[in-house]
Amino acid sequence: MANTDPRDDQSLLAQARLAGLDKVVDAAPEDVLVAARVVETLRAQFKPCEDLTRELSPVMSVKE
Amino acid sequence: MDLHWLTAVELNAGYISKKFSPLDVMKSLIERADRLDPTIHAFIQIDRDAALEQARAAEQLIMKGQISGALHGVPYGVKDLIDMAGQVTSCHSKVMSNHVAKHDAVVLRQLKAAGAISLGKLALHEFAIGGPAFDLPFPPARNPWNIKHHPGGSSSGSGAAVAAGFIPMAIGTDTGGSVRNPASACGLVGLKPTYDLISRQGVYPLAFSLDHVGPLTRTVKDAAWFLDAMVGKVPGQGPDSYAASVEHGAKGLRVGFVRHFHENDMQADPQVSAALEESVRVFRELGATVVDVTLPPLSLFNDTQKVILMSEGWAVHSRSLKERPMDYCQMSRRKLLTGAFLSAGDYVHAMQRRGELIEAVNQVFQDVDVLLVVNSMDPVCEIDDQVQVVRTYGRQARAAFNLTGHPALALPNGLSSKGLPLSMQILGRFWDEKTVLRAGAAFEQATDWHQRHPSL
Repeated sequence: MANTDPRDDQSLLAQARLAGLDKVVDAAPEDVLVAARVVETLRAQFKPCEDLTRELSPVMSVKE
Repeated sequence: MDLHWLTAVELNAGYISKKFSPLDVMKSLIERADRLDPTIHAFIQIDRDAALEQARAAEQLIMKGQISGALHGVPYGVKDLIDMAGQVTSCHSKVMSNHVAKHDAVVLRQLKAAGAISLGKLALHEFAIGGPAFDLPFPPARNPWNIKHHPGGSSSGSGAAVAAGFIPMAIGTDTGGSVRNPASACGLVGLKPTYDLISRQGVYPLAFSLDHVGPLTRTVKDAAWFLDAMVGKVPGQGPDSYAASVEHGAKGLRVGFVRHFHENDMQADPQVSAALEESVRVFRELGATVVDVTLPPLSLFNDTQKVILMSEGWAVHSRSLKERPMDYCQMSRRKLLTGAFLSAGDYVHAMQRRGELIEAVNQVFQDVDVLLVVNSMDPVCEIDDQVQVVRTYGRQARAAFNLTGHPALALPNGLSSKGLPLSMQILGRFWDEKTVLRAGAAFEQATDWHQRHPSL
């Protein structure tokens, strides 16, 4: 979660188009921007572990 | 006798003693739903003919002295993202309007084997994420305690139908609290079992590693019976059944109270806090030891859960969002599109954090048997007050345990000044639903919140 810089609307919509979201960018650009801003806020809040070499949580490991 | 307020356990006893039959009950529930559901909107579809036919068959078996299972002739409802062979699994969405299921979900097969009868498919938030919303093919379910309010979600129809007395139990799913939220809003018992205890096969996914299937009922004992059936055990039979665990009381239990979630990490409504303090008092009176315990901050759980939910939800919906985005309601679209802006690295970092948080919860369970945790931070708000819906929806301590996978039971512990239900959660160690149900049943027997019903 390194990138916390707020980005302008056009670059966010361009990123959405790169992800194949042309239809929704054309029909409901505001929805795309709302989603992008939610992620920006979440990125700013989220704290990764100190140890980035830590293995992922193996979800099935809860079965002991 | 009000057949519609009887629990599954009471129905079972009434059938065996021949006080009433499955057909009597089914007719009564269908009449009630036909009369009241046009304002509550709990059901997407009521399967009147099939339910009556099965109830008639169940009655005939009883007359012959044959009971097909512990839930023989007991009606239930199904959140409409769970496959029922030959029927549309709508997910409450235009996107799925032509999706006819080929097979029953495994959990439905288990309930059929126990003799339960489905009365129909229940409303939800679109794909278990978008709601309450008014731009969908079906109206949103409303709260039977006050139809101006929403019934929680995403298993909104499941909560509304059980609280309204249309069915004694319903299946819900829970990815960020979607069984426990309607349980909270509707004054019900809602169980999110340990991750993977109940099969998800045939259940439309929202986020694979967070999705849980669970029961909504009006009592803890019914939840235990329902859980037994959902995992293929015989309810009420044998010391190994979940149903047997509810008889053991709370004496000697060590309860950890996670006070900082609702006092420091978020500030709960004073009525919610007061109900929790009273619940602590009840547990002490029952002979349990209650001590404050500390987990990592609630925001760390919630943020980590969101990254995973958004990433996995995007994986499920990316194709439809590219091809037919306007067939989703706006709320779903906005929530599901978030995943397009997350990276693989974000997901990995969240999964690393997840492991750390699971270890932290396990650590606390070395000193206590169960945790007492706030459910919703606020009484439920009005359904068309979008500002309050958005403000209150994230003010909860449910998603934390979708992230960690620990079993969590929601149950009522009060009423607000406006007469709306309040709720708490009891958490347990992995696979220790029995202790969770034991603690919940002891609390329930010492209080009368489960006996309150909405005036309809």
